[in-house]
Amino acid sequence: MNTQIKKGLLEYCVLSQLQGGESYGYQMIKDISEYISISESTLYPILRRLEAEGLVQTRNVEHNNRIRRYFSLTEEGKMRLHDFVAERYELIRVIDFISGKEQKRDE
Amino acid sequence: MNKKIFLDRLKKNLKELKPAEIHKHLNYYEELFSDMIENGLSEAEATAKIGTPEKIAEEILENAAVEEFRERDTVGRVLTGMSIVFVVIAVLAKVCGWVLPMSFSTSSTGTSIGIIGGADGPTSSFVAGKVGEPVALYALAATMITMTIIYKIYRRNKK
Repeated sequence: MNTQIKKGLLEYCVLSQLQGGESYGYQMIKDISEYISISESTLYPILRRLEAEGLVQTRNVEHNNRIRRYFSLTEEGKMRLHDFVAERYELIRVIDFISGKEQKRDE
Repeated sequence: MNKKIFLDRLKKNLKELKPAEIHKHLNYYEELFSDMIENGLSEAEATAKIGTPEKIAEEILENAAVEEFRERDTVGRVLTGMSIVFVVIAVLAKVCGWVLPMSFSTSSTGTSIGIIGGADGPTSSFVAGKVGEPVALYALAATMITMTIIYKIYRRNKK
């Protein structure tokens, strides 16, 4: 998949994945990989960006004598995801247009 | 490659970034490593999966925002450089200071140091000895060092 488009989609994949509850890096990679390929090094910049935008929040949890960072959705993150899902037909229409399915209406 | 070598190499390749930023990246990869190993992967398998630290670092640096990079501390460098120069000069002056007044006193009379006029006889050698000590240079060197330290502390606290 085109890297630019994938980049944008991955953000929503992460948000969507966190809807089911908080999660940590490795778990997220495993879960998201089932749908779209995501590497260890691509996930982190996304998480950082989402955190900087206030869409996700983190907390440190002690696990086996080490720290694991858990990420969870903020209210803003939930809203962003909700908006994206609500507008998904726009995206589908654009894809239809690109693939030549969209009929010209006004003619 | 094991986890430690991976993290060390990653750290080395990220040194253009601010220490706090480097720390965050290292923490992330350390956690990932531990989680992979907990999931039954060997250290070698985990490294193979993540990729080489050089490649990861390259990716991180490509995506890093300007403010994540270490700022070029030009003022600090100039101050440090000047401090070193003044210390070197002061040390040289001190070393030469032991030699120069002696050569002065043997080759010429005390009058060669004309700044303190009127000092003749036994007083002249005393005054010459005092002038031979480059007190002003010491003071300058000390001032430069103090300024450098104050600047560095100020900079650190500002961040």
